[in-house]
Amino acid sequence: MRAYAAILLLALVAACIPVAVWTLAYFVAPKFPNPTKATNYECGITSPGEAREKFHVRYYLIAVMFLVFDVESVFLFPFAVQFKELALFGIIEIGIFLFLLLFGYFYIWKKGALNWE
Amino acid sequence: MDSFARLLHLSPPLAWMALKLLIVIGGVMGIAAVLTWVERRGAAMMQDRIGPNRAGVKGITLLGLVQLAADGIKFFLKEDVVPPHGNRLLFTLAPALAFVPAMLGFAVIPFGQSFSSGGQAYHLSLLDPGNGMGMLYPLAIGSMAVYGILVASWSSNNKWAILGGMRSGANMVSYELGMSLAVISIFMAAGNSPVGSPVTLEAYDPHRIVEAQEGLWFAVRQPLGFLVFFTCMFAETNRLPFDFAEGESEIVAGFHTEYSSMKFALLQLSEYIHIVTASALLVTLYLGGWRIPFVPNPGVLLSVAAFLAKLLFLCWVFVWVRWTIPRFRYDQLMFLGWKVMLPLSMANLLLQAWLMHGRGIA
Amino acid sequence: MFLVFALITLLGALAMFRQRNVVVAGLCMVLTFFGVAGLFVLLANPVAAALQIIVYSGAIMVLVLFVIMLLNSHEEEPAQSGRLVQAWGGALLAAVLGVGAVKLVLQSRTLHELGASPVPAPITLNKLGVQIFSEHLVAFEVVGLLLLAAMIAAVSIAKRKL
Repeated sequence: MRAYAAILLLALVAACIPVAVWTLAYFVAPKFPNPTKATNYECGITSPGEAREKFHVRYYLIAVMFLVFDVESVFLFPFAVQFKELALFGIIEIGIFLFLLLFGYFYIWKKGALNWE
Repeated sequence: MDSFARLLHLSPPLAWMALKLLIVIGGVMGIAAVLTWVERRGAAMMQDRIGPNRAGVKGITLLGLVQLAADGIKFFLKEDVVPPHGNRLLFTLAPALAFVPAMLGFAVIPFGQSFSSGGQAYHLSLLDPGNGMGMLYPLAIGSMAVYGILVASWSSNNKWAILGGMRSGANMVSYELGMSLAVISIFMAAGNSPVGSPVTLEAYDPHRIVEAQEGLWFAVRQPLGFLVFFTCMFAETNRLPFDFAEGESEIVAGFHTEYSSMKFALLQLSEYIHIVTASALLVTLYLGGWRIPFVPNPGVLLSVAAFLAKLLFLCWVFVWVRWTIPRFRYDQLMFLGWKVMLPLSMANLLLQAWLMHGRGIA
Repeated sequence: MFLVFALITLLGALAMFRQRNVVVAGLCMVLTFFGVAGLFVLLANPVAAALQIIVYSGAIMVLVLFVIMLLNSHEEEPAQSGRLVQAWGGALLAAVLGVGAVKLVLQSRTLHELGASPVPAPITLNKLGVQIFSEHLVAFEVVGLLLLAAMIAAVSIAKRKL
């Protein structure tokens, strides 16, 4: 697992760049604080209400569907690399698995969960 | 090449790793920086304008390239406004959260043909082949990209920012599915091609995938998968026609409305780094990596040049598309992601499995 | 290296509990997952590390963050100071569970085999594929069924609100 040292090094260097930039900008940039500057930007109008509002339930649905299909694709990864060795048996197995998921997919399609109106 | 290899023999593997690190970081950052210039000049060209051409040192403008340096200096000299109504810690952290995953994504991409000298194989990718993670690595890192945008938008506590962040979060998440399913078909194709390299690599190793494209590129063998992956890459990088994170005409500047100074520059730079990484992934998976058609063994220099040429061309395609295609409506985006891209990638997977089975491979 | 990743994991988890801001707590959890992924790599199992990041930090935490934003429950609430009995009871339970887990791990046969064998070859997707599609076949199909159930349940929960 020595090869991963390169990744660790890359992550460290990559993390150092923003830190260096922040530090430099902190010393170089001018600071003229002003109460108007600190207000919320909404095209010049005084902001009405909170920005962090409740969001529509569709976003939740999208995230759950993503989670389900993501787990599905995770199971497909080992299948794909073993495709040749598993032969017909593997295809049948994965066929049953995919059939279940496609069934669910068409169900949510029919239910209109994928519609965004 | 020989003298170069001899130089390597003198140095321990650590130096080789450091060299690759330098190439990856410098190369990616350099291309990303130049890309900002290409984007502005390209936009100007397509809209029949001139674009940045004035900035220069003593009259030397280098076609406007000096503008890059001018912009960099300007970003540093601007006041950094942190909105007091947001979350200061996350607001500061968000550009780094966007930047670090963007930089990490390139690590497994083989950017040239491996060569050996003195019984030692040298691979031109930061993570050597046979590491067991292979193409799962860019997928994992790519799924981290959503945090930069979500955190930036939420910590700004600005309506435009949160709208943009939520929209692009749902957008990126939706298109990731089509992307991973397309990659799975690639694994299947790479798994059954004869391997020429002495190391028996896993089917999901990027080196093996490039190796498997010796005869035909995967873009030719799996045009459907290529189409899906190509589209998903635009959605993943939040570029037009999918740039709901920004959506200038609708939500001001989207997730970075409240950002200024160097933090804004970092967010912007990470977007361009994402483009470079996405192009590199496309080249590796579908366009034969460092391979040149009809040249079985291009050698190190030529292969790196071929990889770079493909990479730069794809980067240009990203710019090209941005100034050609208008933004989708949000319901169209979701329709395309869930009802077109997902079934298409699934169909591609089943089609490939069926074809391979028909050819007696499985 | 093990210590570094273990510390990242533990500190991330601790910070998550101490954090009153739910979004920050979620990000601390992502940090914890990264620490665990690092531990997986050290255990010569890079596939588990990658899948851990793809599924846990890439999908589950995004879902959690979405729900946090959806419910607008991100106002910083003062932590409720529970009754003393609850606190001590919780600590006792955690201690018992922790001791039990450690004892189980130390007693397991695989651990001794691990100590005896040299550095194992990294687990790859291929090995995982052989495992799943031959030994854990039924479990695999049950997972498919479970995912189907999750899909239908999510739709029926959301539909009530739609």
